[in-house]
Amino acid sequence: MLSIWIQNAVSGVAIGLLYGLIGLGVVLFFQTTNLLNFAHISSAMLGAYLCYMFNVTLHLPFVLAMVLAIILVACYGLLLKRFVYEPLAKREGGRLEFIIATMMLSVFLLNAVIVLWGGVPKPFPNVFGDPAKPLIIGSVAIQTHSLWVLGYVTVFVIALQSFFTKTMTGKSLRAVAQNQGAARLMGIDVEKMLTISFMLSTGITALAGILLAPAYFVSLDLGGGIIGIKGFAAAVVGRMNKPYVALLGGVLIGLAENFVVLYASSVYRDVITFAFLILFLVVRKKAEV
Amino acid sequence: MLRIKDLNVSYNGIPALKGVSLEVKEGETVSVLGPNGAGKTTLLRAISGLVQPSPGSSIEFMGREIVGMPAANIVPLGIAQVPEGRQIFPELTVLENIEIGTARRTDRAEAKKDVLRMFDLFPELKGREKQNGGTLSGGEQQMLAMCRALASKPRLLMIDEPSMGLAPVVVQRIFRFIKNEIRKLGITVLLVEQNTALSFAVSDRAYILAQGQVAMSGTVAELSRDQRVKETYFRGRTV
Ligand SMILES: Nc1ncnc2c1ncn2[C@@H]1O[C@H](COP(=O)(O)OP(=O)(O)OP(=O)(O)O)[C@@H](O)[C@H]1O
Ligand SMILES: [Mg+2]
Repeated sequence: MLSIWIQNAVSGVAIGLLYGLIGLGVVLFFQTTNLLNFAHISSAMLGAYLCYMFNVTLHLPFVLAMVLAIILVACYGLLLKRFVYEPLAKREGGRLEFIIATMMLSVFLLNAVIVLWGGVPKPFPNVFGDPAKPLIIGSVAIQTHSLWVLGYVTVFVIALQSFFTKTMTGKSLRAVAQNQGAARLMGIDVEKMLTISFMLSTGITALAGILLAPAYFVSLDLGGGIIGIKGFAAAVVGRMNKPYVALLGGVLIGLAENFVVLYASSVYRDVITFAFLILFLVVRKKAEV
Repeated sequence: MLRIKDLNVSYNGIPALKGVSLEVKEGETVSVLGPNGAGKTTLLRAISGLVQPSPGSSIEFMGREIVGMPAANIVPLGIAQVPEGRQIFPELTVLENIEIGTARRTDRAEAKKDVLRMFDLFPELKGREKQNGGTLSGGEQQMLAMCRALASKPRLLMIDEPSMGLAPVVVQRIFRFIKNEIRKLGITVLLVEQNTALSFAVSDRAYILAQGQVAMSGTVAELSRDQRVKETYFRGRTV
């Protein structure tokens, strides 16, 4: 029993870190723009499909394929800023329009992917090891994918943290998130920082999408509501302003759903997980007042 | 150094500044006084490029027209502001807050040294480098806001109501700093303050704003003798 427990904990943490990464992208974006991008999760789908294209169709090495996919999705983030955000930001009521526009964008992107790659899920190549050959430690079987995810996320978070604390651009981004007016007074180019946060949040989500693909396949699920909501939920656990708490929030969700599957059934996975999350938010609100 | 002519600013069609003209010469300390809502903060925001003046307004800095310039290009010219209410970045450390002041400097090595020099100017902040800005007391935050602005190596420093909400001892400390240290650094000061006695004590000249217009101006000596100033702005206090 304990070994099953450990197995579920490890894979729950791994998948949860990826929900958390999506949530972290939501938080970074919200902190600087004060907006929600309802096409946020589309970046995960785009990342996974592009990586699949580079790696499987064009036979590029996986790491190169992944880096290219993330860069392309970040460039898509740049276009999103330039052609959706900027025109709307100039307008009164543009904030609401941005939310609606990104909702439509997410549907558009789902359909664009269907046109380009078809709607049938594609198995992701076994770059993280063969799922049929887990790592056996005593009586515990651990998926190598989980270990790779832990490795990638750890390296990424360390890199992100150094960016935010060691570089002037990173510090400027944090300053803009905390007090945009004062940041302007310090001569910080706020527009440029907004552009960076669009690219950062779409790029991070692309990374999460690529790492999720072995679990969810290269499929439309990666651009769909359920994972997107888990990302937003993780962000809300981080109170929309604590990126690393959002990451932990994701872990919480990942663990919760694995144990629901273990003790109830996979049919109830999302139902129970979301019920639990709503309860968590309600109770926490109460505790705060 | 700074020459403002016929400055008009309105918020949503409601005028806040109406034809303000004002001059600050190199090396001077000039005060802007006036009651709540007179437009003092708006004046500083216009100079920093945070609000757009109406057409026809002119703000010249070192002989260069800066109306219409984006805020990000004004700091590198040598204009820094210590804003009303200090506006510290609460979750950046004290050190990071000061470093942000150097964001637009290109002389990185010198800028790094200047950041450390700030702790000599305000030893009160020593040992607190790693603490979040938001955890400082009001007075310490005011000092930090001054350091942050000074770190940009300004020629003109604009300070908006530094005495707001601070204990008299701290206020004295800040004003002594304005009078002695900042002058020693050769920085020109445009000071907004509601406390007439304090601002006269550190300034060469002053402008009195009322309802968005310059009501009076002159040297501190002239203005202190003026009966209207005595009655309206000193309210029985003596310098
Ligand atoms: N963002 C804004 N939107 C609309 N009106 C504003 C805004 N900022 C200031 N005002 C108005 O402009 C006028 C001048 O305000 P300002 O803040 O410049 O006054 P002040 O002299 O700095 O006052 P105080 O001493 O209270 O700081 C006021 O009538 C104020 O209500
Ligand atoms: Mg004011």
